[in-house]
Amino acid sequence: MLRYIGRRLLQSVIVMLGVSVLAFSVLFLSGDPTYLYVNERASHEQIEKTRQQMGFDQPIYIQYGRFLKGAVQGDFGKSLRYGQPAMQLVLERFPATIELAFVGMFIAVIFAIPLGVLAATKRNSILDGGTMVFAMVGQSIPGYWFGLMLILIVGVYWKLLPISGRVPLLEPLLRGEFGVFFSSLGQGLRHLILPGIASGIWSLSRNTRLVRSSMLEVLGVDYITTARAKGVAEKKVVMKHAFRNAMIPVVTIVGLEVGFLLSGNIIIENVFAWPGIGRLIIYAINQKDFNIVQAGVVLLAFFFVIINLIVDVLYTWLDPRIRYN
Amino acid sequence: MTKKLVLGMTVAVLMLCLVAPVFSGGQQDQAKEDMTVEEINETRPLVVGLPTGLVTFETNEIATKTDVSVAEHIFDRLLQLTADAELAPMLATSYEMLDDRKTWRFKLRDDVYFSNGEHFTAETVKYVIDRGMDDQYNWRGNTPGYLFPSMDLVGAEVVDKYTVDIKASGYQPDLPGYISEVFIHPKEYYENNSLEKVAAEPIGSGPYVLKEWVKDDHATLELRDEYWGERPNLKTLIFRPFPETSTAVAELINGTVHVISKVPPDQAPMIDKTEGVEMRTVDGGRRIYVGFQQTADGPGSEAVRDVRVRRALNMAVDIDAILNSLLYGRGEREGGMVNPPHKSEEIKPYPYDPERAKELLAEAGYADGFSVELATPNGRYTKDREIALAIGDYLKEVGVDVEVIPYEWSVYVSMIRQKELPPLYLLGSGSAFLSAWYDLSDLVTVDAATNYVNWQNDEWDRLVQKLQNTYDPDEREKITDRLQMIVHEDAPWLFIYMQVDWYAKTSNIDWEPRGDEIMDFKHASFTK
Repeated sequence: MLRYIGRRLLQSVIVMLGVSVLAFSVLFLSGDPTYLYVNERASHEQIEKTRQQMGFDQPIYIQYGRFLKGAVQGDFGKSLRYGQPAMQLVLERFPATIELAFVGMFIAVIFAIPLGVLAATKRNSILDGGTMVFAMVGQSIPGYWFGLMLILIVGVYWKLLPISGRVPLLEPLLRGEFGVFFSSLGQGLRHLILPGIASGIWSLSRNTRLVRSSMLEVLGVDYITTARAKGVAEKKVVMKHAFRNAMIPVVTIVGLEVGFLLSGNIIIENVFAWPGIGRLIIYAINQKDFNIVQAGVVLLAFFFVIINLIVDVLYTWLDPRIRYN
Repeated sequence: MTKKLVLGMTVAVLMLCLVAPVFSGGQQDQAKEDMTVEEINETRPLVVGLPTGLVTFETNEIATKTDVSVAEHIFDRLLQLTADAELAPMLATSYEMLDDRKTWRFKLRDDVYFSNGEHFTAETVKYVIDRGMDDQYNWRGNTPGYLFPSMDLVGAEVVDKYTVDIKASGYQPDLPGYISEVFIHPKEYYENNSLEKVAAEPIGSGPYVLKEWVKDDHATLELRDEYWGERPNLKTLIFRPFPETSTAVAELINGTVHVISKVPPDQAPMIDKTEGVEMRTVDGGRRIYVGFQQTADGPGSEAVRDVRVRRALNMAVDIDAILNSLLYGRGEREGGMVNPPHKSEEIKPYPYDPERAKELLAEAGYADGFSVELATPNGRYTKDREIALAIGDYLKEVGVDVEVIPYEWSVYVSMIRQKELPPLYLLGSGSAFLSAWYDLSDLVTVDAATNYVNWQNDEWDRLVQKLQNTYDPDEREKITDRLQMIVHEDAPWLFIYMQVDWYAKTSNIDWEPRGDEIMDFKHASFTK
């Protein structure tokens, strides 16, 4: 197992090196990056001076080496527009994205599993039909439209929940300010519900279908028939013999979804004015603030790699037959 | 088992639904009936919806009207441009041009202190000018990048504690106007703190201080205890960015946001019909035009170098019909590049005359038309892409085969700066209502950074030279009137209109928008 993890870690380093090359290349996509660092009336001398100051006159491998050295230390330079360290800006947005991802995944998993299991065990029933219609609609609705409908109905007509914005929860918790955390918990949760539902609905629908189909597949195999023939209680057949085995593809998908949600849902963040990482990166791309783009891409790739590693390890717990030799 | 699952799911659903009422507490404006307006202004924050996030409070890096609108409440200026486009004293009590006609002397107030306690003196002004002109910083903001070069600034000299001279390299009658856009910040604080710190924790002498800034979420400003000037009514201002306008409109209808800008015209009728909210439009100074790039390559580039073609294209488009259909009739067709306060009376818009346009094209040798690209930003200006598409359709009717290509602003701005635009491009050029020359100076020389059309005209060049040595206001007006006419006749632009700015507000706030796109709440007040 440890050997496997070591091998995967080595693979992860190679992946991260690849990502670093891509992130480094971003800076050169729009031609000479020097022009990004000077104002539009800069003289030729100023441009040349800046080119030398930034090291853009040096061979590309030296520039990459310098970038890599900085990246390892979390130093991606300063944001062009904000004038602050790019990684600090990305990390500032991360708690908002984590909160939204957590609520989105909570909704996507906590409802998908029972719904999928129920639909599979009650196959062809009204419950099954209803669940599948819900799943199909949930996957078909564009997130942008669904978010606006939630705002209109729940926020404007019913006035039940706040429409947009965020009350920080994770930051006071991380700082150990529990008083602040508990006093803002109510408002924080209220602000999270609508964007959480909007960001989780697609995953919920897909996971429901996935759990159902996976359960149906497992419920039809021989060892389930054998278990039932031996008189094992239906509850035990479903939850112990079928459910656990049906979870392997679900865990894979959920792992990927966590990665995607952590990378920030730009549409949902825009609709609900949620100050997450997706909005920052899109803004940075629009403003050609490439230091932020580089910091964001490298950090997100890092999380993806780690989550994939965790998912692989989870397989062995779910199915002890899986061995990593 | 089924029962337990159903039960579990029901509990989870209930938990989610119940969180709302349990923690409910409306955010809408709920003033007690017996509260006075003064008490409401003291207790209720004014929430302003911004179209984009705030980027910086570093005065030399500020490059958007969004940032200016917030900084406006924290920093003062030497002079201020009123909502009626008049220059008025602010930190300077008076100003005059000295005999050398290059130096402007500003007398300063002696009772101004910044929010950190620093005293405002002539040294402060010199420091602000020196810091903005210092090449080591590579500033990319509007003040060092546009204002200082526009007034050919040489520097500032302290005359005495409350008198400062600001020098230009030549005669610059618009210098006080340009100076009215420069934010003043304290010397000691900015000298002794990092660029990062001053960009995030600004200190100014304005009526408000920045209390909290959570990037992309909100910035909260609060009134200072001591302010040298007239105390604003509202104690707290909260600025919130809304990348999605529909969300901002929903917040406005809910009463949780009180003012929003850049409202899409399509939503105006709905807002007007909704109780408690109102639309506000104001004639802005931004000139919206299609430029005829004179040094472009590719199809159509030769054609737009012919003045007959440029005039023909101006006549081929029914701008009024476009404004009526896309902007509900707001805005008026323009025939020049100078804003109404200083526009020459001789300048009239080109008439919509497609037959004459066809004749002119035939005279120029394009009786069968030609093909050309028209680039446009997508969402930068009100209905920009739609206006470009409509222009393209009109031009097709006189035989010009136009391919409209929309670009994201980030790509477009690079094309503008590197002058890589196709023969036709749509753009909006800002203005400050200061003078005719302020507006005309976009085209000052063929290689000027703002002359995106690379247009050159011999008579224009002669008159611009003459203007620089003409000091008599009446004579200057004659010259600028002629310059306006040259631009109209030689038509380096297809003139469209001066952009109308669309705002919406709740009915319980007394506030009117300005034409320069700056949202100023120093005189705003709740009414109930």
